[in-house]
Amino acid sequence: MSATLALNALKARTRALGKQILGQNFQLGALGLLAFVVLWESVSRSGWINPIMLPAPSVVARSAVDLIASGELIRHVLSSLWRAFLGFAIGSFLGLALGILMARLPGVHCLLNPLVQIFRAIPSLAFVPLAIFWFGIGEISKIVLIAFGVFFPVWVNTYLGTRDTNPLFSRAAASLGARGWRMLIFLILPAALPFIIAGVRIALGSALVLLVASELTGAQFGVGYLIQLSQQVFRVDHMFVGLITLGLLGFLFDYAFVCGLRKFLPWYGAENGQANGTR
Amino acid sequence: MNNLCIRFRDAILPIAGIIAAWQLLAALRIVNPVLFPSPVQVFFAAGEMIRSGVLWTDALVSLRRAATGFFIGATLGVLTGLLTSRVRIFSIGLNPLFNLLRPIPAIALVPVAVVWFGIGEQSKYFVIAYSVFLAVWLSTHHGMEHVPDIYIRAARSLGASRGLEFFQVVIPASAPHIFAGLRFGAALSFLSLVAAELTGASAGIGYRLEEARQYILVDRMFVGLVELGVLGATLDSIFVWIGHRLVHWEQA
Repeated sequence: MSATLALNALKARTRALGKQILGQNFQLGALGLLAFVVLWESVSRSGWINPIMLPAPSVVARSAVDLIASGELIRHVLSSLWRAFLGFAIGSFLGLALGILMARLPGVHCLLNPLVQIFRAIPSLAFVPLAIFWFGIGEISKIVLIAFGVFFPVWVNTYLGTRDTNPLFSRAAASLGARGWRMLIFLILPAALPFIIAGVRIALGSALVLLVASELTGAQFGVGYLIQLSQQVFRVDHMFVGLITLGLLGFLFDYAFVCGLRKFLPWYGAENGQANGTR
Repeated sequence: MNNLCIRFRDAILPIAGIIAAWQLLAALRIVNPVLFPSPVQVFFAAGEMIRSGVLWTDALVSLRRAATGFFIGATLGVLTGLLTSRVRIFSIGLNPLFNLLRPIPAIALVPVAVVWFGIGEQSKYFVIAYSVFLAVWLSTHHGMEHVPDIYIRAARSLGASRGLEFFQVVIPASAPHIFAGLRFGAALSFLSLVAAELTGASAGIGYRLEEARQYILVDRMFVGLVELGVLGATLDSIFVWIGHRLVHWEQA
């Protein structure tokens, strides 16, 4: 009984996912996608274009299977995931903490706001050389870069959400005797949560961007490094495997986030927080 | 006048404070000046770069790249968005593909672009145009698709032809979305510009950053960062200003 229920839920979810990618009538969407793959395959095999430069989908699929079978791809993915996770955790924690502090304490706001605004204007990728110079080409510079990229979207949204809490709520809570941390935990944070969630969702996208940027400059393992290495040995098919892996990772991050949101905080309406991440 | 005072207090004063604190830290030798140069050092480096003309040529080269890539990407993005939102065949054929491409970070395409187009200008245009294209396409497509039904029904019941409906209802209703996409695309073009220049170029702000790293000239790196920040902020405010004029009826 519960097995059929679970199966039905799975079916519904797969269908929703298909709709999200392929559009409303997804049989036709899948057909369009299939046509694209066939076109790509035939262009690559036609001889107009050097097949080394544009490997056919079948070649890319075979390379992907090889990379998975040898365990190489898993290692790249795992080291990328670990870096992204550490950077994301540090960056979002700092963004959250600083956002709350700056919205609640005017002194901290006056002190830090100009600094944060200056850094926000500079594209985060431009810090890659500086981070390498300061922290070397090891793990630390990569994690710092990812944390840096994650920090800003989380900070902005936490700050705005916390600052613009409906004064009616806080007055009502105050008249019921809430103060200090109680006010923060039970009122300010829940009220700001939709903003914070939107910020975290954007930050997931920027984490991926900075992950790739920092891995392109040199690493021992990582999906970005796989792409960089394959460029040096001219294996465009491996580069495509790397690109597809990155796309899948980006998609899975977002999907897992939305699913988690729907499960744990269903009342916030994940669909409304459509993020337009910085890629 | 009063407004100007508040602006001065809110914007100039804190920045001056930061620079003063930074100089103090450097003067007290709390931080290593090679790793973290003082503002005076950065200022002198900027002066030298202005005198030798490097600062201007870099800015011009980078801006030309960003503008070319942005122009190609934005044009294609708006046109494709028009097609996919109005003609069903295109939306069925192209939307799934674009939706699959969207989660791939555009920087990951830099090595691929280098293999395809070499390390010349073309590979930079490709990366910038690609990242701008997807953002502009998405906002155009969404803006056109989500024109409120009631506008279209009202126009049709008043006897508007298809052409009139398109130009007088659909375009004005979706223009704020398209413009928001263009603004986001402009920010993205700057980001991809830096990514493309870091991997190999012979001029440009990103190239100068990488060069300064290799010669351990951190003061010049700071000049490059400030240059990028000023250019980016200026471009964004120009976009906001144009947006207020162009789509004055609705701010998305």
